[in-house]
Amino acid sequence: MKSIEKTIRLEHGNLRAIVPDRKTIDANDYTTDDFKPSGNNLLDEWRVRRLSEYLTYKFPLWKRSGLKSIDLPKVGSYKALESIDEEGLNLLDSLDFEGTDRKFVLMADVFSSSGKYIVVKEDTTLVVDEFSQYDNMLIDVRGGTLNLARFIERPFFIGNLRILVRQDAALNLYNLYIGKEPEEGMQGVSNFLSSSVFIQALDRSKIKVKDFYFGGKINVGYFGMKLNGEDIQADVRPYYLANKDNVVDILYFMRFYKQKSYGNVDSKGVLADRSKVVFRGIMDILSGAKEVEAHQSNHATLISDAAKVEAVPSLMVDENDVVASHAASSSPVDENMVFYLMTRGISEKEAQNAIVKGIFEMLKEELDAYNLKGVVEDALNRVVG
Amino acid sequence: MELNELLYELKKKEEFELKVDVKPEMKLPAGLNKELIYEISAAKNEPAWMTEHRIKSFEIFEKWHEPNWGVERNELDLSKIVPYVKPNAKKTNNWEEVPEEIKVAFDKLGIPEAERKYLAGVGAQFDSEMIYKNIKEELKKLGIIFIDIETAVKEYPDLVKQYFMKLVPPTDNKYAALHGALWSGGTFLYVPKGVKVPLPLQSYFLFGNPGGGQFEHTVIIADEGSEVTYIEGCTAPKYDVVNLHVGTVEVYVNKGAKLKYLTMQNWSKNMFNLEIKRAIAEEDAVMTWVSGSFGSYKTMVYPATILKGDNSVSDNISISFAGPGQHIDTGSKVIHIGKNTRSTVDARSISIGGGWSFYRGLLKIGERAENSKASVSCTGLMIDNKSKSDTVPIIEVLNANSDVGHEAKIGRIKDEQIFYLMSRGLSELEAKGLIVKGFIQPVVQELPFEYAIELNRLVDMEIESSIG
Repeated sequence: MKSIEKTIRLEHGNLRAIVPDRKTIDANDYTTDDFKPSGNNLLDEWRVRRLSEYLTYKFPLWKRSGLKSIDLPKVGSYKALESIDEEGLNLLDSLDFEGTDRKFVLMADVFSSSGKYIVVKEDTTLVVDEFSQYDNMLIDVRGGTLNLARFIERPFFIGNLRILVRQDAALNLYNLYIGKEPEEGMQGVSNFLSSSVFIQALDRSKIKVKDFYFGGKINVGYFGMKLNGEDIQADVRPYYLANKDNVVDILYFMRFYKQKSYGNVDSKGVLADRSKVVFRGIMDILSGAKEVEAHQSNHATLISDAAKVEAVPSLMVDENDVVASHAASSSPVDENMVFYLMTRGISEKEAQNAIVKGIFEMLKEELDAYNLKGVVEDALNRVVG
Repeated sequence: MELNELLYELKKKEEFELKVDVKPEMKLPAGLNKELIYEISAAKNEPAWMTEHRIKSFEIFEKWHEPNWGVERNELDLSKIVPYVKPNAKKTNNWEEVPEEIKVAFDKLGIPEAERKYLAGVGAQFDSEMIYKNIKEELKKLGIIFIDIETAVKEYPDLVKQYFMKLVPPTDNKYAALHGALWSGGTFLYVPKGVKVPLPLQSYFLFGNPGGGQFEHTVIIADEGSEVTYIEGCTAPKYDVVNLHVGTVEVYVNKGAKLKYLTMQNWSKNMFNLEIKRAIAEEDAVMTWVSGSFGSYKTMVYPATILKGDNSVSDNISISFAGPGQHIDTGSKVIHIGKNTRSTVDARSISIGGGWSFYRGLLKIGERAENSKASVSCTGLMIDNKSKSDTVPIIEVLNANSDVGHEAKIGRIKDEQIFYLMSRGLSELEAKGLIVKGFIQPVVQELPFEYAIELNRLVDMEIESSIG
């Protein structure tokens, strides 16, 4: 039975709540003429089905992140999952989800010109840094530990990453989403990034994730986890850094299906100039998922009067034998910490910058192993010098 | 129906089956149209400006779409709601003059006794009209106006025009427009400058007709430096058809004034309770909402405070109880506009016997609300694993000089807590009841003593019938 993992589930027994309508915008869109065959008939049949669904949707209107129009680049030739077999296609179908928006998930499925299908059976380390405007990646972690770092630096990007982490397997995932200024040949195309990641985890799997968002006029991320097994450990740490008029709009979602799993989403970031972050978190614990522990938090540090933060940290709980919590805060840089550093002889500005940099220190150190530490350092230098 | 749900229903029936058998003086047919609205206005002998307000509101209602969020309302057919039921009782300030059959119902709720013992004034509404309103003589002499709103329309038209549906205009949403067209009954309370009312004032709303809608309107103005506590209670017997309550409350807390608004809602389980409550606080003013939501089939209510003045303060304390078949969607809204404003939200919910409690909140710190502080705390207690508890708070911070914190927890009563209390000689049921009472303590301690006892008794009953 193929089904889409819906992000919002507003029902309980015979009771229902109203799910707000999806608001849309009119924009020039691709047509069936933009479909480029992959040469893999099975895959193309699947892509045509996705295209049929794609054409039924208009583009979404996002009030909070300010997506009111979209200008698309030309479609290149298809290059992503052309080597996929029937088993891989079944896996693709089993990992269907809504993402940042259903339209964008289908877009990356149909028009991707970069991407890979990877099966991991033993400890593997991968750094992927070549991404086109549309990317589609599928990973089946059958055993061992996959260490994967993705460095996406683009002015326009719409991508999907689907991962199945099977029993006893492990995943360490780093995603760096860096919005770039529009380059030659891309003028007139929206400065927009939409990245959707969906992970299904099975019994006793261990998952650690660190995401980093910087730049791009609108930089949107969806990270969904279906914890479909027992004793799963999932620790997700989103970081964001925004300046100028950048908007970072991120949604982290975990749904617990079975018992005794642990899930944590701990998000933090810094906002400068007129930037804005929208953080949405959903921890959804289904009935029967006993002894689950789920935590979620977002801490935003604002270093400019004109910066803005919006947080919607949600808990949805259908099982009482759980520990579920969330927390959110927003504040300027801690005065006491600044004062302490100033008593050690550094200026107020230097003290503030040191505190801001400290927020990203652990991320930087871990990225050093993938030679990607400089990405975060560059971003910090551009914001706080 | 499972045994505990059956027990629950029987208990509720036994406790709240009010023998209300009152023939109304006038009952309009179900449906919504302009002719009915003219009839309501004529029955109240209203001035033309109010009739015009109703008609304009109705025209807005006809254009508005249903709010695309909140509880599902498919079972609510507005064309089947009886918009106006006038009780066969004249308005009075003498309890002896209240018709015997209505008096019996209010007696059961302890209203006259409460007035004698610990209230400064009482209003009682039956169906669509306030039938009793009284305030202690010495408070009247201080210039406090505590009357039903129809009387205010006639005796204080300028005050009513200044405040009525200005904070919640008919254009706010479809149900505000419906309310603007059909409003009937409710309270008008004005507390003059510097007057501190020593005891709470209360209005009690009782519903006695199947398929009816109650649309009472409350306007409270606490003038500069005044202080007052107002209590609102709601009850109805259960009918087989859907009843609708669309009350609206507008509270104006002027400079330096303090106002506390308490609601104890125990509508029957066939009631759609869709309320709008909004307050505006001027400089140095303090607004406190205290809400207990126990009854109704489905509820949507989110008491809101607009902190307009510098240094103004809002506290919002609530407990909602979602039992079998209930969908209780409650929350709070706080909008910080003035500088140095402060707000706290302490929202607690109990889900039991398959009920669904949903916290939905908005906290907004505006660009000019510098140096503001706000904290929101949501706690959900799930007594069993058939129930559901959700929290969806929205936090928007538009300036960098404010501190905002939010935390939420959902969980159950821990086995070791029950074990500890049972080792002290309590039964399991008593232990659970005691823990739940501790959980709702922040609301209980805001209530007058007699109400606190009543609330504890209500909780005992709900717990016993749901898990006993």
